Amino acid sequence: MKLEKRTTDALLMAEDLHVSYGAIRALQGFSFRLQDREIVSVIGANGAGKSTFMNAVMGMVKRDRGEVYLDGVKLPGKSFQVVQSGLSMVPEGRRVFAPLTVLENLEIGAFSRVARTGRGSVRRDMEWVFSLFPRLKERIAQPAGTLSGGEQQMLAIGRALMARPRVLLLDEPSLGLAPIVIQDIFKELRRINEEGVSILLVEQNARQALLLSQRAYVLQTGRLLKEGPSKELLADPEIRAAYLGIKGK
Amino acid sequence: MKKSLAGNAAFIAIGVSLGLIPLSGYEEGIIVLLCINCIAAMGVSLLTGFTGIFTLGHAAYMALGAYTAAIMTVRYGIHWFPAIVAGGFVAAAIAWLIGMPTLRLTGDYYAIASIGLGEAIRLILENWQSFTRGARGFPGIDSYTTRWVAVLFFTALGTGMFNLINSRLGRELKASRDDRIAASLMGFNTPSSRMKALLISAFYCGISGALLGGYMNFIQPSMFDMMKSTELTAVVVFGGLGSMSGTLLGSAIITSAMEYFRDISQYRMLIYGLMLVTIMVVRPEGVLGNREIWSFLPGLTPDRKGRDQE
Repeated sequence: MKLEKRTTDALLMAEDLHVSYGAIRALQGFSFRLQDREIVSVIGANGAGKSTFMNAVMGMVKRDRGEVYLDGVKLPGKSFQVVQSGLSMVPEGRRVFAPLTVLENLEIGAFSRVARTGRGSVRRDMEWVFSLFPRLKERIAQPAGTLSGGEQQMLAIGRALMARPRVLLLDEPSLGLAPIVIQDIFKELRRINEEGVSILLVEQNARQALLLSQRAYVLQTGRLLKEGPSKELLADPEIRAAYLGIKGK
Repeated sequence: MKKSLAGNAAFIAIGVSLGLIPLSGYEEGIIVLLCINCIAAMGVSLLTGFTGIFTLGHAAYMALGAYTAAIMTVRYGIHWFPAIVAGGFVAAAIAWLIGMPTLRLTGDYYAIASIGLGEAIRLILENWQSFTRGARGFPGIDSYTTRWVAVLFFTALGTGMFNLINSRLGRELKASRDDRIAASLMGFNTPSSRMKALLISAFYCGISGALLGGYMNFIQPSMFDMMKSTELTAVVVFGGLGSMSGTLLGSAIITSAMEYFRDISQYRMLIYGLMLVTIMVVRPEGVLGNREIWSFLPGLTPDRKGRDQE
């Protein structure tokens, strides 16, 4: 594999991404950067291109144009190679392996890196995941399909962490969860970040996403509408009206 | 480790006993047919039961194997053993050509494509008069499929298959069956493992077809029509999707039932239909569901990871 180096201070960087589904142009030139140890969120309405953006980074959809760089190195195009180079994604709708137990789901998450790091550290990483989500330890032998939605989301995050990613990507982790569970999960995301994992978050729940992240991008119909520190966006009257449902003031 | 060794030993023991028990000529014929059907069913089971790619066209790969072996032995006088193996490889090669564009499809879409391509292969064999003798069929094939040849191939391929489904590739296939997107996010190269599953299943069907030719002494394209393809998949569903021993059991039950009711000739199909409907109503997951037969034995509960913790 030929690697193209590029000098940059960003850990993850995307340039001029274009993706289309047939005649529909879902992403029209979106550029993005994520610093090391940063939490960045991408918010926007339905169909704004948020998930498409994440899938384009992971190689789950074909990019018409644009490249993604991790630490200045061009990311490969196939998703399994992207995973092996240090990105790990929690897909929309969790997608845990329902017939497998919690433990088996976590083990399968370590698959992509066992060749790199050996089996030795799998156990240790699992303890880390259990310390983040003690509920998973209680349910270690239970088939994942029998877990509640929140627990499945925890498992999906734990499974992604087992790959020891440098960047954790989350596609709508709040989808279909009770507000109190969302708060729990977002709290753990902050802890994960404090332990050195950079996080890229795609959310419709703009308020939660902006409260968690340091910076954010706002997408609208495949284009960048605004970007900036999350605090400023939270205070921006236009964003408040359009995405937070708060008028006036 | 120990478990797989015991499994291999058990499988070889079954093979040896199938090969050695004294039987009448008629019974021997049933054993041969059983081995042939089981080999094809195992191939389809790998693809449909373990990879989640529903196929309704695998009889075509049997046809390719059968015609390859027949033409090689009859026209070119090649020994039957390389001819049978070549049958498997030709089937796999054509599967590769077909798989390149079609494996991007999933679910019902692949099933529909497989019907069309299966029929296309059959029609090519039927109309390529100069090479295959067309619809008149291909006579004069040596009876190279004796009992021990059939049992040998069955034992070898069966042992291989049981080891395969517990290998890393087997687990990758199951992961991509359960959730293809999640599997590729775990770092599995799902397109490549799906292709491997298709090639291996076509290889098994090709061998099975080659053996069938040597058993019947005569092959014709209509033996490998859509009915046959449907039967292959029906056997797998009957035995249980995702259970290799279920596939063998299903194949054994259906093959023997069809033999048992041979007297009533075409009314057999009523029995066949009745069996399929009964299993769908009573046990929709198939005879063994997605478990292997030894997991039902007392004292041998499946050693699911996690149960041993805390």
